Amino acid sequence: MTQDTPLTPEDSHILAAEYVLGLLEGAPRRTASERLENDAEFAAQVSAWEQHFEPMNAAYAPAIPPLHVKKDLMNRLFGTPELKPKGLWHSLKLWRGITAGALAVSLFTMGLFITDRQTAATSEPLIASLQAETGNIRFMAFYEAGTDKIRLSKLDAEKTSEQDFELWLIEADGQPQSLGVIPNSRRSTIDLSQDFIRKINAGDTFAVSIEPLGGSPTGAVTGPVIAAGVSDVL
Amino acid sequence: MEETDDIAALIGRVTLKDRAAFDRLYNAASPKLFGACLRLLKDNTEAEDAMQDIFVKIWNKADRYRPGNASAMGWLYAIARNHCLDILRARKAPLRSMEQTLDIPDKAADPEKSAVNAGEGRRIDICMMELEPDKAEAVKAAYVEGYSYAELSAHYEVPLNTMRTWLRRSLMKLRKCLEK
Repeated sequence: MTQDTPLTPEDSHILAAEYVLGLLEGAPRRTASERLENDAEFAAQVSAWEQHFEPMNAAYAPAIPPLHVKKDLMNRLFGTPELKPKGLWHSLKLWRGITAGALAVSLFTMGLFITDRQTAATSEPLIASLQAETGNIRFMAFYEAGTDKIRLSKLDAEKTSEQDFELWLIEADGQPQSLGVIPNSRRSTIDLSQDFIRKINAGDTFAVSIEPLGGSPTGAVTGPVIAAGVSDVL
Repeated sequence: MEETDDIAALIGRVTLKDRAAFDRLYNAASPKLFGACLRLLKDNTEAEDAMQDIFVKIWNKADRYRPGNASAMGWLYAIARNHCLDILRARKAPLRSMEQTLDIPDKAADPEKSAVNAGEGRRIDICMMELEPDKAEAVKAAYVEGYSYAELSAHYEVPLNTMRTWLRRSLMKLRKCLEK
């Protein structure tokens, strides 16, 4: 197949342009699509042409799609509104029912003692299992409402030495807020800034992204999100 | 109109599976993307179905967007165009009429004006002006309408291979100019 045929750099650039313009049909287009997935250099060339041609998008006159398009889309992605989402990233409740044993192990690794919760009657212990999209549990997060520390347990997550894990809080309004960089150890603690102490509630989502060393330079998520989970009352 | 930065921020939040952000992203971007789908597919029902598939892709692939690498709206357009092109290329229907291609307004004047308006960002327009007018028109028709080599060769009444040679030469010229 042509996919394995080495292209000269010039050919590769031109193929990328042909692909972006949409000139190719049939097998050549399919081959270019496959190359796009497997060949980072070709993907970069395609991206460069997309940027070159971007001003031509101005030729497309905007048109508002019929309302049913959005409704059907949202139903397709999220089901009917009254149903809970059944995505790949399960809520803790669902997960807890399935693997109670794993939860017990995680709590143990975090050094959580059940007596903690009896002595602090007003506080509300929250827990979240942060899962990959595949369902693997990557982190567990534990937080006792009103305190200034989130305890984390890293179960299955890898990064390079030039990267940091960063923990995010997503409240009901949906805006991710950084809780800080996660120390790279199996068990760790993140000190919360004063603002967050009264802010974290059951139902909030925690997520972990991979960011440059020292955390996101912009204050917004810039890297891939590798784990997310909804917190729930323990 | 939403600022590009807002679109980028919304995409960032969609990577976190933030539905409220996805809802806003749909509201902000769907008219532009639907406009592109209508132009490419020239069929309302197909364009509506395509929009759903495109936004499912956006929901699933938002984490592939790298801020700073490409403009956020440009990235969304690329997803939409590509999806529509796949639909076009899968069609067995005969070649589409080329009439609309010829309606592209102000081929000669427009690029110059926008180049001045938008400065560096419009380098493509300056470089397109270095091509012969009919070749520039063919490049633009391919991009905007999604015409294939076969469709262009039928329209310009030149053999397929000639069309291919024409356009490849034009693309090489464009590349040289764009990299200046």
